Amino acid sequence: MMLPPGVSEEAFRAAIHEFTAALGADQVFTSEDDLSLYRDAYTPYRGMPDKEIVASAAVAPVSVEQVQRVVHIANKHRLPLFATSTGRNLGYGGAAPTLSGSVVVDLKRMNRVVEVNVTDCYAVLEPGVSFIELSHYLRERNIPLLVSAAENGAGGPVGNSLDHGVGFLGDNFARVCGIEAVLPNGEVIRTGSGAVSNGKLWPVYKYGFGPDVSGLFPQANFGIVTKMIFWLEPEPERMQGFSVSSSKHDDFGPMVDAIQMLRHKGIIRSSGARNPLRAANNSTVGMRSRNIPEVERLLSSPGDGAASAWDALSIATGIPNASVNGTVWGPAKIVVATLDHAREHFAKLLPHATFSAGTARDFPLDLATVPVDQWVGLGMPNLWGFQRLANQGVNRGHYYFSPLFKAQADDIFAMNRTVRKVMADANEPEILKRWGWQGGGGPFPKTYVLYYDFLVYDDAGLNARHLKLFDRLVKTCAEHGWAEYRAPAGFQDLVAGVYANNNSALRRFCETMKDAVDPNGILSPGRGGIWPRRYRKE
Amino acid sequence: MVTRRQVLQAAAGAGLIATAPHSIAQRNDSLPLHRVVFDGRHEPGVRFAAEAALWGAETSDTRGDIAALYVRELMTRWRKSAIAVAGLTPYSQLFGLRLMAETPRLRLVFLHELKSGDVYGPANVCRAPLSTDPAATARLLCGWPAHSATVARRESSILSAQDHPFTNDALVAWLMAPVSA
Repeated sequence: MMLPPGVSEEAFRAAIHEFTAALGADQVFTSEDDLSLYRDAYTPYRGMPDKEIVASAAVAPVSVEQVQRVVHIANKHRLPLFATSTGRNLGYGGAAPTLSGSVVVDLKRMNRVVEVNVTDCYAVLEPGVSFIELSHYLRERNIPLLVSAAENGAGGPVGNSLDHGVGFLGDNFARVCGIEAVLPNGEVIRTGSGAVSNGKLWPVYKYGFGPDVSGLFPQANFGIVTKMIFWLEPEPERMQGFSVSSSKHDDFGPMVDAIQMLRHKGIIRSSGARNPLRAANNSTVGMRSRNIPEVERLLSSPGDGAASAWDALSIATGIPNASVNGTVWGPAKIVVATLDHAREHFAKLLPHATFSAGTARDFPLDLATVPVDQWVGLGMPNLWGFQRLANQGVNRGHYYFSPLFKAQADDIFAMNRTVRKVMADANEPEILKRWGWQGGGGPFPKTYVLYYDFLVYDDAGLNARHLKLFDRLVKTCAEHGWAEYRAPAGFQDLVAGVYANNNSALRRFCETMKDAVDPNGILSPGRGGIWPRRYRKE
Repeated sequence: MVTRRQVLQAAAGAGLIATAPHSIAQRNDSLPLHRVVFDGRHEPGVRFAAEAALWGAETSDTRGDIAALYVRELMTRWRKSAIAVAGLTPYSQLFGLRLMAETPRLRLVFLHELKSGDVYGPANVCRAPLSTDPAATARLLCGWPAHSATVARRESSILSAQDHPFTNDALVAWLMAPVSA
């Protein structure tokens, strides 16, 4: 039997007994079989059982009152808890806790869509509601609203936004207008306008008065979120993407600046930038290397190749050296006018570039006419992401290296040079080959992020080497000013550690708050790199 | 749903028409089965479903999209109570459905790669001879003894299904059963 650190077997057994009395025996789990559901199916520590983070037990409350009782019992026995909503955060730790031995508070049974308001375009959700369930709820009732679903439709708005995740509409925490949470002392708090008794503005005005403490709940451990106001998007009349490409290497910079300016002006809703020729040999999941030797030779040459050499190769292969894309939506007339504007905008800037409009998708969508791999991008969550990410026959899952960088060509080139050098210095040719050259996308309005999937293998030695490389990449990128926006359970300290300005003032401030509101250190110790005093390595 | 035409074609191909009635009730001790899932884009899937239909099982075609099937037919049923579901699909579709089945606490108790005939993971309790014949596999799953599901679930780990290197396109037959079966 695994015990939480610092908890005696007697106390643990007493707590399990009390959980059983509070929730019922069928909602308290201690068998190895049951607890396998709370292991990270994609653990980076495969083959290293002493390092894998596992739970000691799990409990599944169904109401706020039951969550409060769980918290009270945990305080009584000083038992560490770890709350998870749908538990589908594959690539970032799944349902696994941050501290081995924690008791997982599985909120999947709290799966009510409490309210959907069509007039003000929001939903009040419990944490166990998944994206596909919410989408189904809307479609079943002919409600013309879309949910900003992540690629993995089995995840949900609450868990995704609480990990600063993104959906097809971008930053999901930006869509959170209010939170209800059980605090470490068992009290229930409502943030923002929800603090007004009988207030009407909770779903529509997020700040309330005074500090907006909603930001204390994502990637942190100051409460168990039991309800969330999540803004939805009115279904547009039309959605349409476009891309602009050029064979000229030096067009990349002006193109990135131009697409971002369209976004800053609010003319387009999403944007991204790629160099298809430099990325021709990438083989991350979902991509197939074109195995062009000259591409690898140029990328590995000093200064990663002269512009003239890339231009010549582009003409020889027909693969563009620069490409940007954007999406527009709204009334059909406005979409047409916006695309005309974008076309003219790029034609003036780069007359030789090629502008291509994508397929116009009119709502309500006839899903029978849309390839399933395009559903998520149109606001229709599904499990296709699972299907794409299912084991590729050679690996056992993946975890993400996901740095943020500026949405500017200089930063994209610099980040690629830095990462490639770290991979080459580590003598990891396969990792380097899969990386190839990465562009960026923009779920966040003013920065780019990329998702590089480190694959997990049966070979524990190989996995251990990759863990070291991951560590080196995070630290080296931080030296250049690029930090991760999200991290698997085992890397919370690593990533939080690079946010170390002024002698880690941010971490120390969070620890001070943690000790004040959670003196027994029961809620998700280590989440966000925030450790309560009892577990802190001073 | 499998069409009558598909059933007749598949049954004729398997030489079953002369011997099998149109509907064979499940055995009394067999695991209650909510539905048999197949991907009609693959011929073995159609044969599997046709045989299951002869055994009295409801069948559903994913047509390549497991999410739509989950939302349309499984989510609501599983919210009422956990009940077993069997299938023959590409592995990638099982991968997603298996995770959704965690919510009602179903376990993967049988996993069989059709091409190789190999049985993986927690299916060790299966004593019946296995073959690459989808119809034979359907007969096995439709008549799966309830007590075997209980034994299998003791040996089951959701993770164990990941211990085998399937490709996304590998056709696998599977059975997920509730913890309390």
